[in-house]
Amino acid sequence: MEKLISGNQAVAYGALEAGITLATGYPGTPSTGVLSELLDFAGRNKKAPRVSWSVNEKVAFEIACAAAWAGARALVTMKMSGANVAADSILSAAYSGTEGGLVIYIADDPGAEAGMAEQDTRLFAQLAGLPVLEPRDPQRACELTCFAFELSERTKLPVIVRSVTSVAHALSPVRTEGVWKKPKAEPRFERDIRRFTKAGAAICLDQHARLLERLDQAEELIHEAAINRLDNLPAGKAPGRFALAAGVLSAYLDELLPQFPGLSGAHLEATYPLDERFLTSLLDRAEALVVLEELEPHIETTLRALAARSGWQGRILGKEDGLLPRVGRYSSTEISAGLTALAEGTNSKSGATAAAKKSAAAAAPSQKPPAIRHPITFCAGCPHRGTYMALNRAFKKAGLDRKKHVVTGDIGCTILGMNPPLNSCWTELAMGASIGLAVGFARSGVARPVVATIGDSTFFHAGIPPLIDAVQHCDDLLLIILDNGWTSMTGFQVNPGTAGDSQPGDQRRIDIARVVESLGVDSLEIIDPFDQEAATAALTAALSMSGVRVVISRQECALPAARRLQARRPHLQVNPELCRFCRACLRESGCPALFIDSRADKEVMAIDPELCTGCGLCKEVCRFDAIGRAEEASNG
Amino acid sequence: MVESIFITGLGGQGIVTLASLITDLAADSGCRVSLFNAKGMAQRGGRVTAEIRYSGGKDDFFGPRIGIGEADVMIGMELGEAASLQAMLRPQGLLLLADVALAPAEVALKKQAYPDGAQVRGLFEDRTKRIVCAPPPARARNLFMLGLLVSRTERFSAENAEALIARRLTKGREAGLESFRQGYAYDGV
Repeated sequence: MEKLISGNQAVAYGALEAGITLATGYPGTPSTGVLSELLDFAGRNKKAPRVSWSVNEKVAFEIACAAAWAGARALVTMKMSGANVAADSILSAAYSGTEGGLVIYIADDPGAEAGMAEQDTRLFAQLAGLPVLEPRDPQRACELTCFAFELSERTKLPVIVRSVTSVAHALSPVRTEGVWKKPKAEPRFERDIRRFTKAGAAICLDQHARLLERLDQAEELIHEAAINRLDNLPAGKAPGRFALAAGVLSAYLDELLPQFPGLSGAHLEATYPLDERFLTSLLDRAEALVVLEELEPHIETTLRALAARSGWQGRILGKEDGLLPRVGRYSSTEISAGLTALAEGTNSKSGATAAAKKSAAAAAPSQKPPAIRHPITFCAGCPHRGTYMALNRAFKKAGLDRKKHVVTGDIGCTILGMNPPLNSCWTELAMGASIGLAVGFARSGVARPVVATIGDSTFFHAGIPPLIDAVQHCDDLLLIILDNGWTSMTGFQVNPGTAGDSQPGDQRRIDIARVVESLGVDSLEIIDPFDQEAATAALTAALSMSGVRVVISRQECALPAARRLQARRPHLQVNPELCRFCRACLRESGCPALFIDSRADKEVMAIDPELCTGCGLCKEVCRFDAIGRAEEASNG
Repeated sequence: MVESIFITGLGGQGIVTLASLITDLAADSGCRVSLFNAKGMAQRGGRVTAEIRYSGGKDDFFGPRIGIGEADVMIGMELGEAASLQAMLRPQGLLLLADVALAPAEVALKKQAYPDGAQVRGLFEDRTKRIVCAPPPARARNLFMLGLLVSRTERFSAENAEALIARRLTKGREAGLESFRQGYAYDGV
């Protein structure tokens, strides 16, 4: 059957068709959709692979790795930053290899549309020594995921399927059976310490040599399977001009190549190891080439080296000559620039100038648009808003200047506390880094108290080791854990702290408070961010103490709470008679449910009853008692 | 020939539904179609965009994203967002604007000016003459814009669109159809 599905969904279906036994991962845009789709499948079908979110990418990889060592097919998913977390185990597993097919799905984000780094997983794969398949669209994402399991089993190497946002999140027609092929073999792990331990140089050197042999074998298999292909070849033996496009750019090449008669195309979907026989045959046919790849000049560098080695005399255009950028996502703009330069065969800079002009036009259109961006803020009813409001108030109450005291932030929704009107967080580095950074700031002698803020999922993921470091070394910091019970930024995934009745049947909840307590911190308080008075008092006290103080600010994420709970709290409304339009509610909370009503003779604040969840934070701010609860609770 | 429709606006404006309906309409008319939604910030009041590309040939291949200045049609659900993404529309492309301004809180606090329909239209006028800026009804604004799209382009038929809305919308079907018809009948510029 043919369905309109995303690249991520297509990877999930490819894995089902390949007969996986198990899938794990940690949520991270743009990779999340694969495991979400598999979880949906497992929810709909009695016969399904075992699918679950792990506490972090390293653990997720290890679980999948062991299943594959025992002969099963296993999938693990993560975003590019997650690969860094799992790197220790991934690089080591490359040495050991695998028995069952082990596929690591990593989604990159050229253009940083989801924030974080423009990390190029092809270079990570080169470091690890693992093959990379790079599907150009959802259909190929499904097919290449299936092929990746075969390649993995035949080479005994874990295989990376690399996606980018424009494939992972794009929907297009995909033919798939949509069924799970139940694995037949029973899992069985053979003891083999020369392969599955690293005790001794002899073992490691042997494993390293085997890894390189397996990579050569992968290159052969990729060549045999003709994963990379040529298009619109020149007639006869005349030398041609070729555009090489990798991954998603291959689809743009299909679209634009007909506009450039005389140019030929080379489509690459296996980008590590690069198929040298394919590239050599390309050089034999070509007088000029342009390499179209996002981010790093990975193919271009290999091709230039190959050309130099073989004494090839033609011309290669790409990033190294400044034609195409290493920063940002490509679209038809960059592809056109590359094809134009190749067709003209003259100064490659003219194409570059055209591309640069277009990009500049995007940044600064001919007529100035209003310089107003909609800032990303917390949802209406978000408990994090209450935590940062209370922290800001606590600084004031404790007589501390907020401009002098560092508040580190962390990955996830909690970082939105950096935005107006809260302006609380100063830093965002990596999962769990808020705590390590706060320890470092405190030890380096910046103004104390130093505050760290982190969400619940991020704390479980990578926040516990730095907290242990702080306790052991008797550091001085205030850690606020904003515990909303969900991994919210990526779409409300269950995490270890999610309430027991929202955990799937075979899972149980771990209470962050018990974890923190067990580490022997100097103080621990649990606050309700919707009770501003008590929360502010607790944070004020915590700011003035010394030692490792932990405050857990606990209230469920507003969106799953609204879905789960039948009756909402009564929403709030503004009494226009009492509102003096001081806008303190808006200034302090920035809640998106608040708006200005200027329909009557005077301007007053108003609250959108559709958005308001009844958290009451605006009411706590109002000095004129102009905000009250609607009398009747609204249902739904 | 690939055609591209770019939709811009904010979370909560029904852009994902609108994009999905246009995608289905294009697929039903025999096109190969691709849809890219950027909706990560939708729940948090942030920018939402959708990129729809389609081509008459079932076996035509094309990239999923719309290049700068290459949208044949741009649907702006919110004036400020449309203004800041104006470079996406190709010269002489069709611009369909909802005359809706949703100013962020900062604007209210600092008493900044926020662009109105006439100003945003002015920003586009050196790019295209094909501009419609229409005040949508309070409910189902996204379907009003769908009606406007169907009436101002050749590709889609009102009959198919109404049948699709009736099939896809389980709640608010009548209001949706009503809004679609208002958009389809809108004869202003």
